[in-house]
Amino acid sequence: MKEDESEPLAVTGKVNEEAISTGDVEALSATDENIDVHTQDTKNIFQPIEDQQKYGLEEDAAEQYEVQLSSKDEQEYDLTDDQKEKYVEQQVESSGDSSSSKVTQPLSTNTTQSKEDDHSVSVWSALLQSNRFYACVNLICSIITLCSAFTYVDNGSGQSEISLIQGFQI
Amino acid sequence: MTCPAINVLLSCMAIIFYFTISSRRSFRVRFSECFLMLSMVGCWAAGVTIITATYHRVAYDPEDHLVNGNAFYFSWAGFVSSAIMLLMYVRDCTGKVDYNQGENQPLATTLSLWLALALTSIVVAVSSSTCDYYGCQPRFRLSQWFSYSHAIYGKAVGSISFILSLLMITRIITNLLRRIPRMFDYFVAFSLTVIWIVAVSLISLKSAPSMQLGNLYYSVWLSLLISMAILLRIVNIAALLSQSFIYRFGSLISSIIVMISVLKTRDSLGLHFYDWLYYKSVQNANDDFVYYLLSALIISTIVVSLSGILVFFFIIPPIRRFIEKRAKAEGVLIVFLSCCWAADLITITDAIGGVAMDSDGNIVNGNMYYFSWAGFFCTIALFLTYNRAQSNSRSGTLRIWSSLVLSSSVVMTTSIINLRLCQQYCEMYGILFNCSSKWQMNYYQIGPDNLPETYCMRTFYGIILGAASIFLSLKIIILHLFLSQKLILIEAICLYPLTLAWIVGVFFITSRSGPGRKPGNLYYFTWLSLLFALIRTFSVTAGLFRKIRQGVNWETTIVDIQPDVTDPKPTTIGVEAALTSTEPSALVSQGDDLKKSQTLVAVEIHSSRDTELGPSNATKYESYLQKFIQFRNKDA
Repeated sequence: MKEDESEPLAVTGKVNEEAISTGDVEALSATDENIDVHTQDTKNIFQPIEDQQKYGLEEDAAEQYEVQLSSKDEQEYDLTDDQKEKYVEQQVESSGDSSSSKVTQPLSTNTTQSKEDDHSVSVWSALLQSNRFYACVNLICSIITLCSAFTYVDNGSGQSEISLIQGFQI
Repeated sequence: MTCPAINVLLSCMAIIFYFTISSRRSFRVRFSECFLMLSMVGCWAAGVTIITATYHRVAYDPEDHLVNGNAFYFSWAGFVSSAIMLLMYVRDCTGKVDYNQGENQPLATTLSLWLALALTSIVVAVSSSTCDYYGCQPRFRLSQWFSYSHAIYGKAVGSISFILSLLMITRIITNLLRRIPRMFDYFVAFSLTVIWIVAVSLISLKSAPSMQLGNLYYSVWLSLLISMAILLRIVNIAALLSQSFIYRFGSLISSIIVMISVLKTRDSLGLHFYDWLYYKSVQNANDDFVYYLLSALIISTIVVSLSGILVFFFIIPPIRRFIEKRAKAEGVLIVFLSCCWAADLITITDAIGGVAMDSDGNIVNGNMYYFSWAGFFCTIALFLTYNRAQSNSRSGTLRIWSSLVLSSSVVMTTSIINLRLCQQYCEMYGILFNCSSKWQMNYYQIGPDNLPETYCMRTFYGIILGAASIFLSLKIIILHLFLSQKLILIEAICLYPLTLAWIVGVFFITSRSGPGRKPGNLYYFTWLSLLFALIRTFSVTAGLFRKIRQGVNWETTIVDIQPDVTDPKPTTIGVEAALTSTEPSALVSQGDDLKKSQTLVAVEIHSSRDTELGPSNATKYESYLQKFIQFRNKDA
C-alpha cells in the first residue's frame, strides 16, 4: 500500500513544500519513502511551519519534527486489517462524520478536551429532542410537586402538615 | 393533591410507553399516545392552577409570600415538559411543522417563541386580578382605577398579546394568513414589545417594593423578554450583537433596575441621605435595614456609573479602539465592577437583613433581587469573554466545574450566615456579633412548626456540603489546568459521591424543615449546584460508556501523563513505555499491541499538542516522539 503510486501522498513540512513547488516527485519520495501526499490538504502542509514558529524549534529539529508528523499517517498503514478498521472507526467517530474515512480526512487539530465537549453537546442536543427525557423530567417534577405540596397545605392557621387523606380531600 | 398524584402515574405510563414502544405506525399506538399526552397536559394545567394560585395557599403563606418554591417551580416545570411532549407528538403526527431541526429552524424557533408568549400572556391576563386574600371587588368603579390600574392593564395587555400570538401562530402553521405582508410581523412584534415594557413598568416597577413573587411577576417579565426576542429575531439583528456588548448592556440595564428599586424602597420609607450620615432611626425600619439600604444605594450608583462607562467604551469606535490597545485597564475595570456587584449582592440578597428581603427571609422585591444577580452574572460572563479573548482557551468542562465552585460557595456562605440563627452555634459568633440581641432566633425564618435543632443541623450540613463541593471542584479544575490529564475516571470517582451528596442536600435544605425552604440564595443555589453536578455526571457517564465501547486502555489513559524528560521511567504499557524506555529493542516483543497503541497515542499527541498542553508539555511530548521515531527507523 505504501508503494502504490496511485495512492494520495501526504506532504507535511517545509522540505516537501519546496518539492511541491518545484514539482520534483522524486525528491518527495527521497525525503521519506513512506510519506504520502494530500496535495489538497493545505492545512497539513503548513501546520509544521506554524508549529516550528510556535515552539521555536531549531532548523534540524523542525525537519525531524516534520518527518514525525508524517509518521502518523504512515503508522496507519503498518496496522493489520483489524487494527486499521478499529483505528479508522475511532477517527471517524471522533470527527463525528461517519461518511468520510481517515484517508481523505485531515487530522483534527482540536484538542481532546474540545472533542469531548463537542460530544457532550451533541449528546445533550439529542437528549433534548427525546420524548423519553421529557417523560423522565415529568416524573421527577411530579414526585417533587407531590411531596412538597403535601407538606405545605394550609389548615387555616398558617403552614401545617396534613395527613394523606386530608391532602386528597383538598 | 390529586393532580400531582395522577401526574406521577401518567408520567410512569409515559416512561413505560416511550421505552417499550419503538414504532408508532399503528392507529392504536398513536391514539394511546395522544390520550396520554392530553391527559398529562390537562392534569398539569389543573395542578398548576391550584398550586400556583395565590388564594389556594399551597405555595404561599397568608401574607402572599411565596414560601414553597419546590411546589411552585416544579409544577410549572412539569406543565412545560408535558406541553413540549405534546408538541413533539403533534410534530411527529403532522410532519408539517418541524420546529426543532432541519431547514425550518428559524421558523421553528419563532413559532416556539410565539407559543411561549401566548402562554405567558394568558397567565398575565388571569393573574391580574382585582381579587386579593380578602375577596374580589364585586363591581369595578372608575374611582378604583388608580388602585387597580395595574390589574386592569395586565388583563388588557395579556388578552391582546394572547390574541396576537394566536394570530401569528396561525399565520406560521397554516396558509390562511399568508397574504398579509411581512411588514405586519414587524408591526406586531414592535407593538407587543412596547406594551410589555409599559406593563413591566406599571406592574412590576411601579408596584415595587410591594410586588410579590408569583405567577404575575414572572409571567410579565417573561412576556417582555419573549417579545423582545421575537422582535430581535424578526428584525434579524441578533446576530450582529456581540456577546461582549450583550453582557455590558445587560449589566447596565440590571444596574438601572436595581437602582430604581432601591430608590423606590427608600422613598417608601421617607429616608434621606443625611439619615444615613447621622444613622438616624427611621419609622417602620430598623437601623440595620437603613444601613443596608443606603449602602445598596451608594454601591448601585457606582455600579450604574461603571456599567455605563463600559457600554460607552464599546459603542464609540475611537474610544473602543483606544481601549482595545489597553486591554488590561479594561480588565481591571471589569474586575472592579464585579466586586461592586458582589458587594451589592450582600446588601440586597442577604437572607437576614437584605434590602430585597423582609425580616422573615422572604423575597419582597423581586426586581432588586433577580436583577442584582443578573448584573453580577453579566459581569462575570463579560470577564470570562475578556479572559477568553486574552488566553484563547475555553472548555465546557471547566465552565461546569467553575460554576459548581461558585454555586457551592454561595450555599456555604449563606449557610454560615443562617447559622447565626442557631442558639447553640451563636456562641461561635459571639466574638463578632452580639449573640443575645441582634441575632436572636427568628422563628418565622426557621418556620413556626419546625424544630430549631433540625434547622440548625441541616444548616450545618449545607456548610459541610458546600465546602466539600468547593474542594473537589477546585481539585478537578487544577488537574485539568495544570496536568492536562484525561481525567474521566478520577472525575467519576469524585463526581458520583458528590452528586449523591447534593441530592441528599437538596432534600435536607429545600424541604419544609430545611433552611432553604423559601426561595432565596440558599434555595436557588442548592438546586443549581445539583443541576451542575447532574449535568457533569451525565457527560462523564456518557464518556465512560463511550470509552468502554471503544475498548480504551485505561492504564494509558490515566497514567500516560506528564512524562519527565530528565528522568524517563518506564510506565505501564504501550507507547508510553516505548517512548520512555532507554532500551527500545526490549519493546519489540510487544508486537502488534505496541503498534496499535503507538498509533493511537501518536494521534492523541498530535491532537492535544496545540492548545491543551501548552508549549512546555508539547515540547516534552515531541521529544518522546522523536525518540520513538529514531527507534523505529533503527528497527526498520
